[in-house]
Amino acid sequence: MKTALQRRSRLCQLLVAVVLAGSTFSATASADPATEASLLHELGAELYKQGRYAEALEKFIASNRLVPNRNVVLNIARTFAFLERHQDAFNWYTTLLEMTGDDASRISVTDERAKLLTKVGAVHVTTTPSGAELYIDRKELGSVGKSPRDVGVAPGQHRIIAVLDGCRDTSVEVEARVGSVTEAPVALEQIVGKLVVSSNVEGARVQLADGRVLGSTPLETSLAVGRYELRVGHPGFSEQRAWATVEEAEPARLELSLKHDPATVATLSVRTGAAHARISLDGKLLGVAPLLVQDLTPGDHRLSLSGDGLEPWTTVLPLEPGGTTRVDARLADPRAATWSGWRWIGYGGSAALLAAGGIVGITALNAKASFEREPSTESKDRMESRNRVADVLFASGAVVGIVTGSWDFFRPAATHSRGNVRLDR
Amino acid sequence: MRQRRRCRRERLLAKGPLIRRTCAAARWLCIGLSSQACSLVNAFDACDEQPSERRVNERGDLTEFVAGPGAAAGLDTGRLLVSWAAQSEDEATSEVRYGMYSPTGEKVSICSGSAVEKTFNAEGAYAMLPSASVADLDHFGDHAAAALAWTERLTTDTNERRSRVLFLDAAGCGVGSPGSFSPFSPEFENVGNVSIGWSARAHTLLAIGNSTSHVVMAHVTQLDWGPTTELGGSELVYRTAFAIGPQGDALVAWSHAPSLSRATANRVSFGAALLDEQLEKRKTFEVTTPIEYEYGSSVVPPHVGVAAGKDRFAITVDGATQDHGAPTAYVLEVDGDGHTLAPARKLELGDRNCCATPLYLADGSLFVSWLSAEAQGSVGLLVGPDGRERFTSVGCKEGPFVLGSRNPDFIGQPSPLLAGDTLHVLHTATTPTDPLSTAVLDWFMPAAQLWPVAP
Repeated sequence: MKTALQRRSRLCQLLVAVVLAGSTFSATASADPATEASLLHELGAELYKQGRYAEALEKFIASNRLVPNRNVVLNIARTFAFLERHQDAFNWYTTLLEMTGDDASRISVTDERAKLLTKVGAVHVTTTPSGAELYIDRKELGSVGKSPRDVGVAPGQHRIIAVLDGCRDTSVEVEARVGSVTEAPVALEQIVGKLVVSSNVEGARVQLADGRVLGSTPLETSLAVGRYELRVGHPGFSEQRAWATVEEAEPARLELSLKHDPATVATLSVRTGAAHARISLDGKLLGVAPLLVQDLTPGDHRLSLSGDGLEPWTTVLPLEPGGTTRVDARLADPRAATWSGWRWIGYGGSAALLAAGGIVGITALNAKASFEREPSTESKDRMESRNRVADVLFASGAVVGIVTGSWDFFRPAATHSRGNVRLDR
Repeated sequence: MRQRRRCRRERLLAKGPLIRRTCAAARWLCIGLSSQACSLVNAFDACDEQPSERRVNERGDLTEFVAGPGAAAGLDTGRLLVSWAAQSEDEATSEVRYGMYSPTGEKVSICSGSAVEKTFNAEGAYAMLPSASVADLDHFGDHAAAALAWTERLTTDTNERRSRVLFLDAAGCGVGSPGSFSPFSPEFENVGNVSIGWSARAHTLLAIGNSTSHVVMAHVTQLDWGPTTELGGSELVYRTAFAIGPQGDALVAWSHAPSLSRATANRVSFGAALLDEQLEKRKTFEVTTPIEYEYGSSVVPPHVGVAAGKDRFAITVDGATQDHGAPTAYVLEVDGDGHTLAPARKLELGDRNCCATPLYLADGSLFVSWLSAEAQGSVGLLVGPDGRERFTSVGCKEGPFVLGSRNPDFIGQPSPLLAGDTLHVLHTATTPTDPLSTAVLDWFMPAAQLWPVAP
């Protein structure tokens, strides 16, 4: 009887808790997961009323999985306890204790858990470093929480497995006894890899995102495996961020190119009408057009643009700190004029006329020979007319050639290379 | 002496790099100057060989003129002997004179004196119609290298004449006394015209003369004239001319008054005689010309000229009636037997042409010079052996060409001569260098350049 009364009393307490929990869920049922969690909780409470504890427990756990809730955890712990699954109840109370903030509630939960300790064994697992997932006996059984944690277990020999990223899985054997808490400290061995960092600027500082300084470039250091955000900086240069994944097998290598601080360097933008025009600054080749160079030393510099078959163009540029000097140049192609139609006509016509003059001149020589063999007015006229034609052709060819050559030599300046410079501050 | 224009490329090129460069520079200069004389492609100038001309007579105190064929002779020494007539304007005075040129073209002082020309007729005589010839005769230790012939009036108030011959040594000095030689027999003393020529084959100086009705010849081998031989005759003989060929044969032609008995139809004819190598008369014949004759009209005394070629003779004639007044001149060729080779060729440059004289050049072409009223002076014509008129470097075409200075007064008769390789034409022209403007001029050039055929 006494046991039955005690059961009724505890059932009433549970129902009160269920009701309280139900009112809490109603107030927060606004989002879909919350609504579902609340619904699951209500279903669990209803099943609990009906004495279908296992099904109710299933609903409670599902609700807590959706939205972790202290009251739900409490109901889970009490349901396990009601079902006399003391080991589970102990662990859920431990979870509840972790979720409980105020001291009063913690004392209450601690008392409840202490009551259960009379029926189960407990192991207090601590890991170095902490935060490792803890498994009892086998990982397949699922995690029982993160270290440090009190884990309720059946009395007897157990194997505690600690798993933490960056560390090797470590297990310890413990002997759990009913009514006592067995300490189980676990030292985790970290897995380390190599990180190699180089930069275009020697001595650049390398630090992790949390501010921990690893050293200066060129840097080679050991780090726990994992993915790190690095910050590399140097005075006068912009800080550069990069990610590195440190693995045990292969060193992680980073090659960084630090850029000058835009506020202290000048930017040069060059565009030319011709692609691949070579751009030199103070005699040093910068690249080919179009080109944007952002870390130039301020001051006056001599810019030279050149291209195959193009007329080069040179000017003195002002470069200012933080400013952008824009150059828009047009490199003239002398061949464009060279092979333009009039030149073909000029030189070709000249050559044709000269050649024709030469040919007719040869026929005139033949006519001359004929005249010298048999002088006559007819042969003389033939000789002279051919020679005259040859002269006209030759003179015309020469004149056309000279005129073309003169025009070619003294062609208008409009065909020369030119450029426009603009400074944006 | 030859005036060559520049840029004769084919000639200069053969003379070496320096001249080649010089010519190239000259060519570019010519191009720059756009000279018509130069060519850009070929430096052609078909007629760049220009003849030269010089005044022969020195004094110029009278009207000097070339009287007719045989006015000059090229001596064996290379000198050129030239004779001419000099008359006063009123024809009251008439002399015959001569001068000599050295082989290099300078005038030679006559007989080692200071004068370069000399009157060879007797002082005061009325002398005319001079002619000159080579000679090669000895006489009492003197050597006659040349001879001059002329005609003198016996008295000033009559028309009776006599012919005279003067032999000269190589220096131009007279051999014997002036006028001491008269070639013809006394019965033919009244000879109005005489011409002389040297036959090397017969070693004889031949003299042909005519009286008013007879044509006679005589020759001398030792400065002693032989007997006179009559070649022909007519009612009125005007002029005679002859030429000795390279084979020694000769043709004598003379002009005479038209005669119905001799003329064919109404054409003017000329008499002619062929002499053999020993200068013996072989044949006489009549040469009919295309010159029309109107019976009864008086005739202007026509000129006649003869040239001897290798196998032929050329005869130039002219004639005109006073009624019509426009003389026409012809040249015709006959073979060694006197047969006409081709129709007579009319020497025509304008409508008044006369006083023609022929000359065969070394290549067999026939050169004829005459006076043309249209051209106002002497003109020339070159005819090839094929009978076609030849292109000449002087005229720069076929046909007649102007020959030297002009002669608007129509005086004298041009006399061509081949001395060495040089063609000379002694002719009369007006020149500002002569005090009385009319002078004897020597037009000359290398004969080979007249017909500019390549060698």
